[in-house]
Amino acid sequence: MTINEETLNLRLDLSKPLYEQILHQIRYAMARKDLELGAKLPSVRELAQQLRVNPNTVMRAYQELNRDELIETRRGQGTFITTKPQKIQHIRDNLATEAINSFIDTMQELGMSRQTALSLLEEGKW
Amino acid sequence: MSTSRVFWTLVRNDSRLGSTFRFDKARGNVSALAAYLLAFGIVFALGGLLLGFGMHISDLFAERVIAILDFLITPNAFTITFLFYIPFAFTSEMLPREWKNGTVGWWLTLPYSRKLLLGAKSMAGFFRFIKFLLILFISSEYLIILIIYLQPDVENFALLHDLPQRVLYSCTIALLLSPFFVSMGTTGGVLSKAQMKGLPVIFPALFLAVIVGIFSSPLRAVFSSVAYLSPPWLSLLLVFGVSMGLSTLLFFFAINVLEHKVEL
Amino acid sequence: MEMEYAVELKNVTKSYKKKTSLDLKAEFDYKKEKIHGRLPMSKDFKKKPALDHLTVAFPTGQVTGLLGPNGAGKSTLLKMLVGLVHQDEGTISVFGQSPSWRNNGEIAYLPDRGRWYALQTVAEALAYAEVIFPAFDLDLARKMADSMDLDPAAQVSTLSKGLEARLNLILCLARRVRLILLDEPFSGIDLVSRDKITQNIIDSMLDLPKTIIICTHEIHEAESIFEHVVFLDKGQMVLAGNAEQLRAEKGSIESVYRELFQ
Repeated sequence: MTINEETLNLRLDLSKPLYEQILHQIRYAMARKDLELGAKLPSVRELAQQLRVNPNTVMRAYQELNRDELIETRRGQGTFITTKPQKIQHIRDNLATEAINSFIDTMQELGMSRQTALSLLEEGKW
Repeated sequence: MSTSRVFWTLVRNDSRLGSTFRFDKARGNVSALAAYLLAFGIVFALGGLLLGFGMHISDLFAERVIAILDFLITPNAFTITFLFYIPFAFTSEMLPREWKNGTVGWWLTLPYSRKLLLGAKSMAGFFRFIKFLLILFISSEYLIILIIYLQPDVENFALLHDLPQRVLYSCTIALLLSPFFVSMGTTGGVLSKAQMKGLPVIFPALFLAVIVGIFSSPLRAVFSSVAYLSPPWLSLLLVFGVSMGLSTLLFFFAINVLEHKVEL
Repeated sequence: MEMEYAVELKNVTKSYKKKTSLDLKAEFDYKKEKIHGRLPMSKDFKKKPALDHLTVAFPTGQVTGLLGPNGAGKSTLLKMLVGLVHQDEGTISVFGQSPSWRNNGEIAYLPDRGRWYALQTVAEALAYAEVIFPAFDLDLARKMADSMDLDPAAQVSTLSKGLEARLNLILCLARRVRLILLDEPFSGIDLVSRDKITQNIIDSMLDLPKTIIICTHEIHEAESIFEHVVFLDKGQMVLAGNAEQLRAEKGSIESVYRELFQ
């Protein structure tokens, strides 16, 4: 399955570093199974055009993802999502942890105790 | 890309720059050029026929035409100024035109010597003048032939006898001396765009006057109204040589000014 | 790793002088002033510097946005890099050399409000460019013209502002050069043309490693392609830095601009 513009729906906020956003949003899309294992990612050129950003920014993001073994480049064919489900699970766990820590930070800022926070969590819209 | 190819491409583009003729504005293809020549030819022929008709009907008119032709062909103050002002005028507007058209940013940053850039503009101005001279020459000869054919019974008919040679002589002189005025034009164009401490217009006029003063004798020989009978070769050579020398000097002066004193 | 700079300016100052003494005289006649009991002379004019002891550098292989209000000196800076204007003081180096027409074979410069030769058609313009611009890629240019919806048979004089801007951009980007200078490529251009121009700038970055300096007022349009930014005001550098770093520290480049110049 080739990823087209609809599946990889990245939105960029110009008031924050773009490279981080691209990285984060691709990881998120992978974790949410919006992108399937082994699916083909847009080329650097395509993504840069789509987002209207400097191709070097996209390249940096792809390089980082490559380092994390989340994507792999096959020569002559393009860039693909990893076929190893454990990698995806790994991001999912990381993102979940991030979300939880962020939640905890917010609760603490609001002055909520752990008990209160947990009960609010149970009552939340699951 | 060879320098020569660049040069002639520049000349060709510069020649089209100030075009007022609609056909130059059209795509420069063969059929447009043919149409242009045809239209020109028709105007030419018609004009001639009209004049011919007028002269056939009225002897007075024919007399006037011959007199005018005679006047225009004789080297006098009017004709000399006119003929030499034309190459100057054609060339001096070539450079400022880049400014006027807004293309100067592209032109001035070209990675070629200023010599090449100004050379192309000068050449384009020169070609424009040659075109003009050619039209003048053909028109006069055409008119002369027409009148000779019509054989009007007028007193000054005898003037026509030498007219063709005189036309040829005058055009040749104009051609030989035009490089000097083309150079003057280029220099004038460059100076108009240069940041120099108030160079008054009187300077080139003075310069010209001095030159004319120094070479008044050979100049008189060249421009005498009977020179065409037996061309004063030595004087011609001298005048031509000096004019070429001066034109070269002026050209290098212009290059220098363009290189160092012209900014955007 | 030490950063390499394609373009460096050190302590550059430039003041525009009046063209001739006649201009000066005309202005004074109008004002009818006398200074210290004598008639004014050219030295009495306070020269407003276009560039004022400016020291700034542009990283090699990156896209730099040159930003600032009108009259900040952005255009003057770019003109100096191609030898159209000479500095009064200071040194400028472009790839290690002083600016001159001799080096312009390696530099593509898009002049501010530059027009192209009106009597040429688009096709003729590209063919002409191939002859007079060294390293002009005609095939690439034709492809770009096609993707930008330029009719090869259209005469330049008939092109709208947006279409002519697209052509001007092609004449710069289709050259295989190391340095590209774009002075207000988006100015007064319609939205679609701007998009196409941005797209083509992005494409050209993938082609060859090149240094690009873009001078523009349309910051919102262009900021996502900047890697480096330089802010100029009244001939001096106010702020310069990596775009992503500035975003991390302060927010969008546009907001930084507003903060600096409001």
